[in-house]
Amino acid sequence: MVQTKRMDKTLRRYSSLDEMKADEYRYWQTRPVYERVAAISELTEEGYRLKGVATDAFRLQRTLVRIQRPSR
Amino acid sequence: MHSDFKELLSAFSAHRVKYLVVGAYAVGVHAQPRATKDLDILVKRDPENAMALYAALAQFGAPLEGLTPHNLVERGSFFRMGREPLAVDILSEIAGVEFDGAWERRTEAVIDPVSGLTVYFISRRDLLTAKLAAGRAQDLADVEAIRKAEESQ
Repeated sequence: MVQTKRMDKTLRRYSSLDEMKADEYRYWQTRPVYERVAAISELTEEGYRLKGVATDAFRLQRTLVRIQRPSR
Repeated sequence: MHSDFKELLSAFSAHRVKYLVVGAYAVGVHAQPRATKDLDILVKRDPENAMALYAALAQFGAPLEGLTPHNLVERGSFFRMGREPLAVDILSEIAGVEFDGAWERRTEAVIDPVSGLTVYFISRRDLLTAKLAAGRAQDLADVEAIRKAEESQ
């Protein structure tokens, strides 16, 4: 979970926000896919926790709902 | 990834379903992670794959009464399982992308190093095409993220 990870305390200096953002993208592209995928779940669950939704008991409801709609 | 998503994708793998993960999970692979409400899965629209998909969903425990395999891949029909943030959208088509070509260009990746579960993601190129074709605000933000991630390499 997000809370159990320790922060990397290295200070990195950038000459622009764009350079900082590019470094962030580079970082993620160096991480294995399973880590990136896990981070998506962590970000999502953290977002819902901040909204006061208890996520510990989340399970996927297995009912299929059919939706008729135009292509997305 | 949530264990239920992994279980579903494991069932897809066991039944050799031809599918591609599209949407935010694919953006996470080709750019960087962001929160999402659901797991979007594009499936190949043909009878053989419809049978495989039907069997995989049955194994997963989805109630399929009243549905035929063909229903699952009918043009203009989309299926949703669960509620956000644990929801899965099963799509038989998405704008701008033809499945067979996208399948050939897919990105395969292990998402669970313990089980070795390998998942099929839409390629960066096809994800960009789909996002541009969809054109909603979040899609365009994803396009920018994917392009910047590519430029940063």
